Amino acid sequence: MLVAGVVIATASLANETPDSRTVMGPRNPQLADGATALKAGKIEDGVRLTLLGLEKAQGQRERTAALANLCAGYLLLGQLDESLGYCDQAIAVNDRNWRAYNNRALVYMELDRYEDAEADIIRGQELAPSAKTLKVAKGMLLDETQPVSPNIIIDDRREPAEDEG
Amino acid sequence: MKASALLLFLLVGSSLPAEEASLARLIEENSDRVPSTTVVPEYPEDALRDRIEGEVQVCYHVDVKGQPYRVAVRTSTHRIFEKPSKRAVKASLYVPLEPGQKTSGIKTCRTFRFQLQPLVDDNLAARSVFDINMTIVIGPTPPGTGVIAAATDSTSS
Repeated sequence: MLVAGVVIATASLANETPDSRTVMGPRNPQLADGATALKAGKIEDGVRLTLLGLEKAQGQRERTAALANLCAGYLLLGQLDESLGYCDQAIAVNDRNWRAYNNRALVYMELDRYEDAEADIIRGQELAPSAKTLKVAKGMLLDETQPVSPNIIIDDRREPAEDEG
Repeated sequence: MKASALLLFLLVGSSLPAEEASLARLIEENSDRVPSTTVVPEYPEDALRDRIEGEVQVCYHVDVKGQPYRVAVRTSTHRIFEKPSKRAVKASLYVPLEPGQKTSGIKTCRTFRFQLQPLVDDNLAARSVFDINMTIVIGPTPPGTGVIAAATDSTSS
């Protein structure tokens, strides 16, 4: 279930540079490969590569992507303290990174810190209102805090609904 | 010429509400066909996730073999529920007519209410919410005659 909610900055994000016309290949291949591995479910490889990518990260964008991806990776490995630490760092570097808020919300959920999770989801949705991953995270939070049962009523009555007593 | 055209327009205009009212009555009156298989729509995943509730009324004809056709949404509170509702109706069946019997030509309408009920029991809350799908059928279906079946992807048209 966590996999659906985790968001990993893609390789293309890691490769983005202001002057991308002059860049022939990935500027930080470890970061890009790490993201690819994490997305493919090769979590340990993904974390290892992303840690290497973090060492060579240039600029705030790459650094935040690496930290947020490490947060996701350690979360998927079940190492919640490590995960939370990297999410905190990612947000400290850039407090407008919705992916880091999304991932930290999932960590908080795993730690049963639902109010903190909700606050991060709200903040993330302020930054990225249409992000589907945040909607998934919100749904996961609601399933934990306000579980519901779907109920479908089939009404074949002949009378108009206004007659309902 | 202009006066007669205007008069005609006025006549047509004044007759519309009455026609609409009578049409609405016909639609509200359900047909006398007896359901044999009632397919329950799936609660759309995104609606469940986003806690969306709603209601869809689907109207259709039923042919002599008991198969719904010309299935159309009449009213809907949210588009997300329309597809599963139509799919469920198309997969549902009515008791076929006897040889010599004719269809009344009256549309049958079925209303689907998609609701979410809070789980308060701790034991229930611990279970996956996706496993629970209660269905209540209100209507002319005599007990034991309508067969409830869950809609599956294979029923899509």
